[in-house]
Amino acid sequence: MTKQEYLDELRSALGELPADEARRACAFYEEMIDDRIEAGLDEQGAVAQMEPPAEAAARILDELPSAARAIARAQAARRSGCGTVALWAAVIVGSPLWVSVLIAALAFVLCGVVMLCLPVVVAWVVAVAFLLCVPVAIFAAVCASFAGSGTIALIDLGIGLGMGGTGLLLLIAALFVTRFFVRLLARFVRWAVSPFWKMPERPKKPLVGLSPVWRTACIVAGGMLAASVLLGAGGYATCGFSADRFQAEQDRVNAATSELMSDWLGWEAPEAPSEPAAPASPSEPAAPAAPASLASVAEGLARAGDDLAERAVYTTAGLLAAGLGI
Amino acid sequence: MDAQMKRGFVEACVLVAVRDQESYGYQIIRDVPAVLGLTESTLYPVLKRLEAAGHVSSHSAEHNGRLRKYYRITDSGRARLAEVVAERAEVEEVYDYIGRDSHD
Repeated sequence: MTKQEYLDELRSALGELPADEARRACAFYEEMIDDRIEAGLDEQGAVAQMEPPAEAAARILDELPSAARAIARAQAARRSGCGTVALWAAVIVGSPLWVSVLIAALAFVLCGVVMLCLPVVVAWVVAVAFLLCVPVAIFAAVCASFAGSGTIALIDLGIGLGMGGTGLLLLIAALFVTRFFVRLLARFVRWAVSPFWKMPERPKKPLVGLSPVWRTACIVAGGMLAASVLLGAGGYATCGFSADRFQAEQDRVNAATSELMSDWLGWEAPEAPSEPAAPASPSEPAAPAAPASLASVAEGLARAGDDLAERAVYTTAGLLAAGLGI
Repeated sequence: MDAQMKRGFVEACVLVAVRDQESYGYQIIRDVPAVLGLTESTLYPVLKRLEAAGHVSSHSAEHNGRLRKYYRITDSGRARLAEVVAERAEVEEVYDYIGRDSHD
């Protein structure tokens, strides 16, 4: 084989390597052959001492990231085989098949991404919901103390602390979950991209692990929960652990609160319940006669309900029903 | 020599070949111990890697009417060599363990 034949075969075996890379590789090998000739060998002998062009090209291609390598090898094979026309014909004829497969694959990936985002969203929504209860509970405690009921004030404060503590724990959990999925996503992206682009090796960050800051926050949340239990128990103790007295106090506070609210916001004052709580039954006289829709039933229940929480629930249900048109 | 061990040594040997004065491809192949079985196909990627890592620098110069690429070691290359030399004690320890007649 002559020097030029060797170099030509090498060049074609390197396929569609970037022109720069291919040129440098060929220059290196040409230099090797020339040095051997200078050292005294003749051209044929010098070429014979080198590795066969196909093997040499294989080693050069081995240094590339896998996708570029596969493309280069495919191109090299193609040059020695049938023409470009046949390949393009196959691509076009087969397109209904590979296009639909591609679309299915993309849809699958999208589903996967959405599924990964869901836990994160849920975690945050729940944590925020609990934390939002805290101002509401504090407001209830303030109203209760205005109404002069220490029992209810203490209990509401306890509830507030309890919601706050739980909310804090849930917030920490949400941060945890978010960090886990973000790092998992980062690892997945690096893996998916690696056939096309060699990214510099970076130490993998751990997926789970609790740093001292978070440990302190957990302790604080635990403390809040403990305090809430104590306050709740204490509040209940001041009314002598009697359900009747508790309910009487609750009614008193509710009445006082409604008066306050109607003064501030102009709400309708509900009828004061004449006896201690029984769950509002659908046959309450305050309900409109012959309710025709869920919305109006809920409205009736809301008006007749005998504590703030119950009324809130029925009002919300009524709004939802009205919105849905049932 | 085992192929895996060879790969470990080739880079260090190439660095030594360009340490004291600059050298070129064919010369490096002749300098490096024959037992490593170095050919241009193994040398080319090694030189590429060393240059990418900054252990070796290259320049082209005219020689007998053609261009020839010369390589020389850099400071980081010398540091890398020092690391390899420092590992010698560890390697000898392992060989002692393997070569011992009896273990008691």
